[in-house]
Amino acid sequence: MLFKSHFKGLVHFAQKYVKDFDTAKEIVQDSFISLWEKKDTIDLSKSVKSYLTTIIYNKSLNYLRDNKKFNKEILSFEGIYPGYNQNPSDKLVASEIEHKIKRSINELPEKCREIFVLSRYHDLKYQQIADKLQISVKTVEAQMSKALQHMREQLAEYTTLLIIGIMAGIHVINKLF
Amino acid sequence: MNQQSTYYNELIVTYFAGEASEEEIAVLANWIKASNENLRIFEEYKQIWDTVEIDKINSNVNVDEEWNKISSKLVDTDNTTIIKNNNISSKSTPIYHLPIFSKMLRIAAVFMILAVSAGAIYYFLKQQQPENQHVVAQNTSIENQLPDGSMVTLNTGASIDYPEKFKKNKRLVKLQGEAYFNVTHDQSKPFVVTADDIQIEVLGTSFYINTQAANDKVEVVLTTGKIAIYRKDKPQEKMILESGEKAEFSKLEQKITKIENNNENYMAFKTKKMVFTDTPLSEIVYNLNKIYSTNILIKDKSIADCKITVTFNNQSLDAVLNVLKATVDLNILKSGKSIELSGNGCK
Repeated sequence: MLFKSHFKGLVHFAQKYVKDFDTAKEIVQDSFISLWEKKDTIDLSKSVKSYLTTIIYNKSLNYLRDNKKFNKEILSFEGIYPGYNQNPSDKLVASEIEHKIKRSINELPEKCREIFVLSRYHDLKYQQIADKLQISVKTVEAQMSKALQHMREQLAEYTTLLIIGIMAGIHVINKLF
Repeated sequence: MNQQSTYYNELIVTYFAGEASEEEIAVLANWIKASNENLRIFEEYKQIWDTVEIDKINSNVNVDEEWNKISSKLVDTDNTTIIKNNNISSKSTPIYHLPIFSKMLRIAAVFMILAVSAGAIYYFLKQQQPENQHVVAQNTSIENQLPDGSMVTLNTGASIDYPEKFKKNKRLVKLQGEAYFNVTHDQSKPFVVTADDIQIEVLGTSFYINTQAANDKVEVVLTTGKIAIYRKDKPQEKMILESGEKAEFSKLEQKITKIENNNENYMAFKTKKMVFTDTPLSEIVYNLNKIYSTNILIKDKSIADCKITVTFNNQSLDAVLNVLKATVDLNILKSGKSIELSGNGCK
């Protein structure tokens, strides 16, 4: 079914823009609803997926604008503006790097790991984590940065190879436009 | 780590966590812009963050649950009840209330895309066509030097395309057939081989590719270093290969898989070094035909399955045949372009 096969990939696509898991899910759900509402007026022989992707892209940028977080420069550094690669994969494939990341999460000092997991896997905001653990938001920020710093060191050899590809891509695009 | 880089490392993480303010995002954007090194650091964080998000979505999203949440709304609309969407969608819906405008936009978008792709095609044609090199190994395997000093050994029948001068940011070549690459190291200029529907990206290393392996496959074997393999249409899904590892791409399934390399002789066409352990004569002959570009035929079925253990090290074809002759008791008859082997069973 369309919804079930595309949902995860589209959430990931939206998440890249809005950087908030619940918002990403909401946007994807709303997009399916508006697809449903328009089902009589749109040409379903054309790719439904690209229709959905376009709606999600627009909604995500609107969300960023409404929340004053829209910055096209940084989105272009991320390679997602103006949305040139609008083809989210249906299945989010577990890559080799994923195992390494899991391992490096486990290696984190206990408090650091707790904060990281609350933020990334339980989707708590920094303020919520601070309240829950009775610490300051500054501490949460510092611990999150420490966690990522550790993962970056552990994964240095993997990321460089992947990034060469991305940078080359950005370079080509800059040259083209 | 100095104080300043601590600040920016924190800022990057804060940004990806969706906690950065408008001003902070602008500060970060300026910092990224300031140097390639900064962009690289940002990319590294993004890569890790992205992978964590994929892992999270995979383990936390229950698609059935999500479906239940919205399926009731879908039924409602079908009964033409107007549902109030939450603020996010209602903010963006106005666009869709203006069908004519949206249609014009769509037409405009199509023209935009056409114009851009025409530009892109022109750009690529202009960049590549006039100075393209095409090298074919017609009757024998050949060694060929590429503009950056890298060496490629093409087996008989293989061909390679590359520009007279590589571009500034990438070394692009296109291979058909069987070849062995020895790529000179250049950190700033990845070496990318297009082989059928996949691409192999390296900085500097040596590896083997065969775009016409058995069962409609592309084979890649890495001798030293590290390479990334991906489908041309999915460059973000990279498979990393390390020294001694082998991957194959099935053209039918469009899938890349890592497999064990149990063919020691994969680069024999280059080195003429071959190791056979209890190998049937028929298989040895098959390999010799490939490596020496010959047409050796086995006349007597009784000798085809004779098992032979032998090592050849860059020997001439005659020397190789003499060794085989002594091992299995063969008669060798050269007639025109082919060589016929006959005998009476195994020794």
